[in-house]
Amino acid sequence: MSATSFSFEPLFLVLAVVARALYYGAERHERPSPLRATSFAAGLLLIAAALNSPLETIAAHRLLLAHLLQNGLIADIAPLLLLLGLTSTMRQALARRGGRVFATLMRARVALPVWVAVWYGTHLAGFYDWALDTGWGLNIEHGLLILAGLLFWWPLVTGRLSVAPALGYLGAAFVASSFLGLAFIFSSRPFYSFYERAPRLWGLSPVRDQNLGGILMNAEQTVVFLLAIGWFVWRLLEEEHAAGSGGDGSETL
Amino acid sequence: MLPVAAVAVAALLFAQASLRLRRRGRADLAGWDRAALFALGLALTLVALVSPLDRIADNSLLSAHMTQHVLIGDATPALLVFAVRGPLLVFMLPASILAPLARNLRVRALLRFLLRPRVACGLWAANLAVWHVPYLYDLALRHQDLHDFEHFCWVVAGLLAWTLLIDPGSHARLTVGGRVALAVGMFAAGQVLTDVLVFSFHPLYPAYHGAYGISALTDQQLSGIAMMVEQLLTLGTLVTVLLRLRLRPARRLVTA
Repeated sequence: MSATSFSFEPLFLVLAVVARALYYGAERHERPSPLRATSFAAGLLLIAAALNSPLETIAAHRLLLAHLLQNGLIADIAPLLLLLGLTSTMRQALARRGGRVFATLMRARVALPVWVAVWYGTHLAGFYDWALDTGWGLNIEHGLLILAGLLFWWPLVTGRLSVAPALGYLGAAFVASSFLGLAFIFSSRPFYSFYERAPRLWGLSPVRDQNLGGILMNAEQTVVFLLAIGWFVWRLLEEEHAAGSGGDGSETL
Repeated sequence: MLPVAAVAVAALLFAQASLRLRRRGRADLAGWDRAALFALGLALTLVALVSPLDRIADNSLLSAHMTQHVLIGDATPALLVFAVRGPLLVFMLPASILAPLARNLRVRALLRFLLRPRVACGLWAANLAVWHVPYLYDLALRHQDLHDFEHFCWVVAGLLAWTLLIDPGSHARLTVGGRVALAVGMFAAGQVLTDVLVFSFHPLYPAYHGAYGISALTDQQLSGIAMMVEQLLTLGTLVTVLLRLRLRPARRLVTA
C-alpha cells in the first residue's frame, strides 16, 4: 500500500453522517447561526477527514507522528468545534436525554480526570500496539479520544464553569497533558513496537519519528490551550469592565 | 563580587525595615514568613550568579544559562517583591534616603513611566527577545561587561513585571483580570521562545557544544523546558492566587 493512498474508518464516516442528520433534525426546532452550523460541520469534517484520508494510511501503517497529529485533531479540536456548533437548546436537550450518568460525567471535577486518564491510557504502549495490530482496535482508540474530548470541553462550552474556575480547569489540563508530548520529544528509544517494525517513510528513524510526533502534539496543544485561556482571560477583563472594577486595592495579595 | 555585595545590601535593607516595623508594634506586617521568602529570593540570586551553576552556564550548558536567567529574571524578583508587599516596601529604604528620592520629581516620573503596564510589559518582552538572539547571546558570553549588563537587564525587567503582577504598594495599576492577562501574556511569550528552542532541529547557539554527556540539541531542548517549568511554577502560582481572590467576593455573597 502506497503511503499516499486513501484508508477508511467507515464507522466514523457513518457516525458523522448520523450526527449531521440529527443536527438537521434539531435545526428545525431552533435554527443555529451560520457560524454555529459551520463550526459543527467543521468538527465533523475534521474527524471524517483525519480518519479517512492518506493521513490515516500513514498513521495506521507507517509513522507515529501522523498518528499523534490525528489524535490531536480528533481529541482536542474537533470536539470543541462540534460543541461550539450546538445551540443552547440542543445542549439542554442532550443533557436531558443523557440522564444522571451524563450529568455526573460532565461535571468539571469528573470530566478533567477522565479526559487525562483517557489521554494517557490510550497512549500506553500495550493499548496502542494492540489497537494498531488489530486494526479495529483503532476504532475504539479514536472513539475514546473523541468522547473524552467532548467530555472535556463540555463544562467550558456550556458555561457550567464561571471564568475563574474555567481558567484553572484549562491551566490544569494544559499542565497535566503536556507530559506525554514531552516524553515523546525527549525519548531515546521507541515506545511502540508496531512503529519499530513498520516500514519507514521520509527517512525518519523510529526514534526521530517519535520525537517529531511529540513536538507536533505539544505544539498543537499549546496553541489550542493558549487560545482557550486567552478567550477566558478576555472574558475576565470584560466582566471587570462591565462591573466597573478598577482594582480598588481590596484585592491585594 | 558585585552580586554578593548587592545581596548583602538587600539583606541589610530588609532587616532594618523589619526591625523598624516591629518596633512600631507591627510585627504582623514583617513576619518570619516574609523574611523566609526574601532570604529564599536572595539565596536563589547567589545560586544563580556565584555558584558552580554560573561556571557551567558560562562554559558548558545552555540549559544552565537559561536556568540562571529565569532565576534572576523571574523567580527571584517574584519572591523579593512578594516578600516586601505592603508597608514593608516603604520601610525598605531608610527615611534619610527615601525622603529626598520621593521628593525628586525626575525619579518619580521615571518610576511612573517604567511602571506603566505597557512600558513594563514591553521592556520585559523586548528583554526576552533581544537577549535570545544567538548573535547577542554569544557576544555576551565573550564580553564580561556585556554579560553583566545582560543580567542587569533580566533583573530590572523581572522586577518591573512582578511589581505589576503582585502590586506590592497597592497602586492598582492593573485590575485582577489585567494581572491575570499579563501573566498569561508572559507565559505565552515565554512559550514562543520555548517552542523555538525545543522544536529546532539544529543547535542555535554556536558557543554551546553539549557537555556532561548531553548533546547540544538536547541541551537546547532542556533549556526550553527549564523556562517553561519555571514559568509554570511562578506565573501559575500567581494566577491561582489571583483567581482565588477573584472568587472570594462571590463566595462571601453565597455565604451571606
